[in-house]
This record gives sequence, C-alpha cells and structure tokens, in this order.
Amino acid sequence: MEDLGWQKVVEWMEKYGNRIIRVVYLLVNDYHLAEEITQEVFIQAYNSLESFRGESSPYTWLYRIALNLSKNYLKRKERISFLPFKEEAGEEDILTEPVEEQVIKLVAGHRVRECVGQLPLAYREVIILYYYDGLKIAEIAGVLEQPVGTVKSKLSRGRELLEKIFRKEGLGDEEGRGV
Amino acid sequence: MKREEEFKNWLQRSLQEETKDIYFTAQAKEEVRLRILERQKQSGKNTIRCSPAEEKSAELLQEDGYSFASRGSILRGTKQMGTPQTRRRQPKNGGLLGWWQQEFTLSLKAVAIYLVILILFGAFYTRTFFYVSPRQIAKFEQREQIILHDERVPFGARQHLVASLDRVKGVDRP
Repeated sequence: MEDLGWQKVVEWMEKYGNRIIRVVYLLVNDYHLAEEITQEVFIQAYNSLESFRGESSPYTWLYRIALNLSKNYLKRKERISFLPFKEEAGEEDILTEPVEEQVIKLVAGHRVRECVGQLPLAYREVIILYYYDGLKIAEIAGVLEQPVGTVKSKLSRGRELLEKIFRKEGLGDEEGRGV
Repeated sequence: MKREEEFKNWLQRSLQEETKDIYFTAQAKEEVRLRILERQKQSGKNTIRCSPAEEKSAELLQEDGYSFASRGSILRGTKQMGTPQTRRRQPKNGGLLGWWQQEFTLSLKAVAIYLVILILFGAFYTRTFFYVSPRQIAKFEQREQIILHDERVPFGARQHLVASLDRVKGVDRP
C-alpha cells in the first residue's frame, strides 16, 4: 500500500523545503546544519503527522518544528563540548572552509546576515519571519505560539537592536535605507 | 511609515541576496526518505514503498556505520558537527563508540556557577576575606613555631605571618 503520509511529506518538501532551509540558515548561520535541521523537520513531520490536525497551515506547523529544532541546537551550542581525542589526523582534518564559503563572505549581504545573527534568538526569529519571510504578525504569533502583543513588542525591540548593530557595523545610514 | 517600508525592503533584499543560492536539494530530500526508511527498519515497521535496490542502499549505509540516524541526532546530543567533508565516520563495529570516545557537553552556565561557588566556598573555608585583628597577629607572633592547618586560623593571617616569620622561627608542616 502506498504511504499517504509520505506523499504528503514529499509534497511539503517540494513546496516549503526551500523557504524553510533559508529561514533555518539565517537562524543558525551554517548551511550544512540548516540542511540537517530541515531534513529533521520533515522526518519529525512524517513521524507526527497524526498530531497535525490541519487547524493551522502546514507551513506554520513545519515552521514551528523548524524553529524548535533550531532553538534546541542553538541552546546546545552554548554548552561546552568535550570531544574525544582524535586517533589520527586524517584527510578530514586537513580540509578547511570550502572556497564557495569564502567567496560568499565577500558579498555585502553577508554582513547584513551577520548583523541579524548578532541579535538575541528571541528577537532574531521574529525579525527573520517578519522582514525576510514576510509573515504577518498574527502568523508569527501562530508559529511562535505567543500573543500578538508580545510579537509586536519583540519586533519593535528587535528592530531597535538591529539598528544599533547596523550603526556599530557601519551599515545602512549612508544610502538612506531607513536605519 | 515610508522609512519603515524602505527598511523592510532593504533588509529583505539583502537577506534574499544572501540566501538566493540556498536550496533544499533533491539529494537532501532523498536523504530524508532514506533516514525515515532506516528508522523504520530499526523500529521494525516499513510503510514507505521502496525498490529492493534502495532498501539495500539503506542496509549498506547501516552496515558501513554511516548512519543517517546518527547524523540527525541534534537533539540527542550525539550529532557530529562540521561539513560533509569534515564529518567523521562512525566506527565499523556496529556504529557503537566506547564511553571514552563519546562527546559530552556541560552547560556553560552550570560550569560558571559551580566555579563561583567553589571559589566562594574556598574563600570562606580558609577565611581569606576575614579581618585579622592586630590581637590575632600578636598572638601568632608569640608562638615559637607557626603550625599550618592548626585550629581555624585565617588563611590570610597565616600567609602574612609565615612570610614574615619563616626566616626567623621556621615553619613546621605536620
């Protein structure tokens, strides 16, 4: 029998995969990690498909899973890792950052992303969802499961902080970009 | 309002520029399928239709020790960081690592709090911050020998006295 749940997940991957991986990328600042988290989003979606009652849009639901996974990762990142001793230095230890990554760092957009990345997570997620993904405040409140008022105040405070960071980094003012 | 719109547009354009080359690739989607398949195999149920070759591929991945399930274990604390080029492969003995090879993590906050408590406890235990009265110092000076670890004498007082009297009276370390 064909697995209908899997068909649904395939459809969602086609429809929302790119949007989700981009938002996760902006949240965690690491492409490969963003890819893994996005894969995990769809795996979790598949596993808990029964709990999705269709009250919200699938996108909102997938977003919620993605944000929770990203937050869990970022919290984990604040912990001290104790790695075992490496037995031998192999090829994997010699490889450095891919060339593409280095080139990307030269692009101006990279600096904007870095500035957004400096925001505390609570503000970063709201800023990304509102300014980057273009979600409405009510939709963001649905994704984050927070009151609309809270989202509004986070958005306002997040923007203030972002403007401060832009000024500190010398971005924005000179071209009248509203900062 | 116009300013807000301009800001929104500029920020959106900049971030879109930054993410325009990022896609959830067909390969990544295929990995999702294989990881679900692998987990289903582990739990003994298989509802995703796949060809024998694909099933074999998932089995080989498991046998080879390169487990997708272990890659997607961010929340279980065993995820291996880095790019695909730098990811370490799991050992071939069934993908199991010895306890000495496992990565473990501690909360940065917990470590910081523990250290502060340790320092404060040490300071109070040795009475480092306590006031040493002239009378106490005089009492020490009258001793023939300064005996370390004797009574509950402030550590600071000991340090000073040992330094000043060591040359004259000698220090006994029982």
